[in-house]
Amino acid sequence: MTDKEIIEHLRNNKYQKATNGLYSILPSVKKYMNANNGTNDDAKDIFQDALVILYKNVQDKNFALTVPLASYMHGIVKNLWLQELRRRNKIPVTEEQIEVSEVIITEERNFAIAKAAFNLLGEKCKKLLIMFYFNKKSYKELASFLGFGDERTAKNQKYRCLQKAKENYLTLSTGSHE
Amino acid sequence: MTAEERTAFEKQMVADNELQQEVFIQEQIITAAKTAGLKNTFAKAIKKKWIIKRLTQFGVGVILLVAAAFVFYAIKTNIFSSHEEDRTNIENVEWISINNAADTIIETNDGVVFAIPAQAFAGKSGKVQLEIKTAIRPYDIMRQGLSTESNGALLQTAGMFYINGYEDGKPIGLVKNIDVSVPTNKVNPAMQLFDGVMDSSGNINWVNPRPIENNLRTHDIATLDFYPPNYIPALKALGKEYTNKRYTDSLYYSFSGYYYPEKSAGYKKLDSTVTIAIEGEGRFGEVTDTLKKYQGGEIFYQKCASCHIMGRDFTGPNLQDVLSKWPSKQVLKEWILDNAKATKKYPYLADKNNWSQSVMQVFEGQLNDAELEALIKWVDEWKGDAGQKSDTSIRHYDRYDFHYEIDPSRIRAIWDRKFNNTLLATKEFEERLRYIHSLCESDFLRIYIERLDKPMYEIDQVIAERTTGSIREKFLEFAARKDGRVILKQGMQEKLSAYFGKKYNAYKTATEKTKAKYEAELAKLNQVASEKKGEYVIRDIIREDKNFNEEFCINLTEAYSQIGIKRRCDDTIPPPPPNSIEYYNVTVDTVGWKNLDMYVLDATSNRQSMTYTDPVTGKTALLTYKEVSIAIKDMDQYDKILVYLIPDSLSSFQRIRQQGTLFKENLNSLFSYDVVAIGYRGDKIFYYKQANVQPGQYAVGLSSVSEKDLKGILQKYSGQKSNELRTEFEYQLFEQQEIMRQIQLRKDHEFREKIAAAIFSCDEGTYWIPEYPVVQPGDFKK
Repeated sequence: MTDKEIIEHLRNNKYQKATNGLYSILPSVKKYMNANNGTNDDAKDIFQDALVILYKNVQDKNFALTVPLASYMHGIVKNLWLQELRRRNKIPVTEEQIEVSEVIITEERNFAIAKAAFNLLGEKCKKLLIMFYFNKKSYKELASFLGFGDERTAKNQKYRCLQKAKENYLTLSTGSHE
Repeated sequence: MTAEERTAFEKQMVADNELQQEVFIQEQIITAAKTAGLKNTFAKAIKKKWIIKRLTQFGVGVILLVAAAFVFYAIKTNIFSSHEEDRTNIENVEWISINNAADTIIETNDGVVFAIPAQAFAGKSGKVQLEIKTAIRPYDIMRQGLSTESNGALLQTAGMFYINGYEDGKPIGLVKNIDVSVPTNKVNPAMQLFDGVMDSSGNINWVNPRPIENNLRTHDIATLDFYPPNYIPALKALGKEYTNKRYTDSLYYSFSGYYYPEKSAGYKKLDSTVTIAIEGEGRFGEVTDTLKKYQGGEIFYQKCASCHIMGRDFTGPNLQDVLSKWPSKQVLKEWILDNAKATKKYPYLADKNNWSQSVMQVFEGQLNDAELEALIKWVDEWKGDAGQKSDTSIRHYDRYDFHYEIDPSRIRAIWDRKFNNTLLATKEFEERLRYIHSLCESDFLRIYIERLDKPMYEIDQVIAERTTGSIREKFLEFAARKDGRVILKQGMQEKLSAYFGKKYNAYKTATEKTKAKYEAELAKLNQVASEKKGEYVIRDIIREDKNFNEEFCINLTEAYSQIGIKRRCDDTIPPPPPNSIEYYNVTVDTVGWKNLDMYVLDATSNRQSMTYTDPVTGKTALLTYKEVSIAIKDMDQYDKILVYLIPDSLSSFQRIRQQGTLFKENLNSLFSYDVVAIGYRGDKIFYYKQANVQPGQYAVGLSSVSEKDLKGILQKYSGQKSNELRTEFEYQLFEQQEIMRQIQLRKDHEFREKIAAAIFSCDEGTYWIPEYPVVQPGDFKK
């Protein structure tokens, strides 16, 4: 699969096809992680985050790849990992310059609070919000998948989950600052 | 800008800010949600890719049992990729809240059934949250990224499931077994159950394999078939109501106490499923004996009862224990057939001849050897006041019953709702019981009854060890199926074993009591018949005496009047010379012979015409007897025909004896006779009546008549005659019914013999190793 094809897949929400194409990068990611105080689990996690970032980047029509996609992905991975290490207070010996736009990464950094706020939610809330916003399920479908009595209950539940997430956000943002 | 405007603006700004912030936060959250969803999606995509990679590595060697084709197809066409949009939502996970205090059955949408007994979890609150994950369909297995590796080797799988219980969010342990049923298209007996152990990377390694024991499904025991395999086919072949359970049960259970000795005999197969016993020695030799017994009774009543009454001397001697009084059965047979010839052949039989003045009838040509055998057997076994001896031809071996076939009372004791929800109430047991019936050992049934809590395959093994040949093979085959158990509550085994023992004995005793009662009834009936016959014969003789008396008187008076003398009948006449054949009791009280008296006596006794000329007066006395001969049309179709003469001047009727195919009698010209012929066929009555019959030849046909109507006809005669006719008719009717009864008894017995042969048809070819020492009936001599 060519880089162009992979990007097309991402733009068309063909997640599996894109992943299949990018899968070959995973071993080298693992290798990098292991060499930099990272475990295989960390590698999986970072790789997934990198895919998410790639996905978001390519949605912009003006996005143009100047390097091989593998290198680009590597860049994202390294950057994410550095961030993570800094968060864990394990600053690496060397910092490298990367080709990836700092802007996007910074946005991700800011976005971290929202991510954290979201992660603090219970499993059911998380599922509900993902199903509604990402999978774009209707209230009816939500009701049947999640075992709510009717649509109204589903709607109620979604509202409550969102409120909880906002609360979490406020708590986090007053407590810590990046 | 005014102060108010400023305030308003600031307010607006603030408000907007708050609003803005609110909106901003919300958007952030939503983005976070989307991102989380995206991350999940990619995570799954990675997993899927990994699995497919592994599968393609191994290629043909790896087949998922339930749908191998599906997997290959998927790899070839990348089918997964085209549906991602909708697949990346909820995994096949269910969260269910159950009540720990009650039994719960849960079925997932892919057909896995969890049967959770009450108190299965070690929780306190009574409420348990179950997390259940199932992956049965290959799609689910793939999607959840589950492995099928066991210590590095790949497995075939019929499905995976995960179950965990939580109380207030905390996992709690399982204290009882949960039954899980995994749906499959085909049971593979080699399938085993593995535990899944998850390592740090989230991969599952399947370990600790153990065989799957399928719990057996129980049925309502009343719907199962515990009969011996040949029983219903035999009933069907004999045209009986084989679908009527009350009848089939009742008939089958009535064979309790029927045991056949082990030695096999020759028996012919009527068809492949039903064996009918035929004459032969050994095992089924008794069958013909019993048949003979009932036939013997018939013959006795038909042929012998006119001169013999069982239990006492009569015209002929008491025949009780007849064989003890004869040197051999053969000689007795010859005597019966022709006593004169036998006496010539065996001079010592002269004593028998001298037993009375009467001469025994000759039966040459009337009884064949089989009939003689039957008759002699019946007579010899006749026992005193109790009537007939009990049925000894089928030996009872109650005390030794572990030695023989399954007594129906055993089956009756287990074919009982009490055994519902046990190992016996299963199709698996029903299947095995058919083979157990074919073993000549009821003990094998006991093996099941005492192992109700064990798995079937274990019992199959036990039985296989005690048998050889094709039965052993069969039970090894059963054992290989690994049919499981039926869960039995604590303490039930002892209770059920005890219940079985109690019921078995109760039923056996009840059946035996009923049988004894039945045979007592039978004996009583036989006794009654015997007595009635006895009474009848006596009555008959008295009647004939009376008839003779009266006829003689009338003849005498007539003869004397013909020669001019008035002579009254109450004059006495001395006994006739001793070389007369028949001796009638004639009332005499005067001494002195008168010649004419003798002539008249002769004529009357012989029923022949006479002429006498009085030497004194020269006058002639004439008595005329002329023959009438009556032939009955279609004689053979009647069981019995009796022809009566009803003379007008006598107080009773006369019976015409049958000579060959005709009824002949000499009519006294002084009387006018009616003739009445009565024929019997089964339970039907036929008759013919003619008034004022004359000497000559008649050929008449009988017409059907009811008992009531015939009695009415006989009533028409005057006084005593009609009474005696009626009594005679009633007796003959009774005798006919008695013969019918004997015939029915024999038919019933024949039927029972055939059914017994079908029920007790164990396969002698099975050698078995007994748990108890082999006991012979002779070991327990009384």
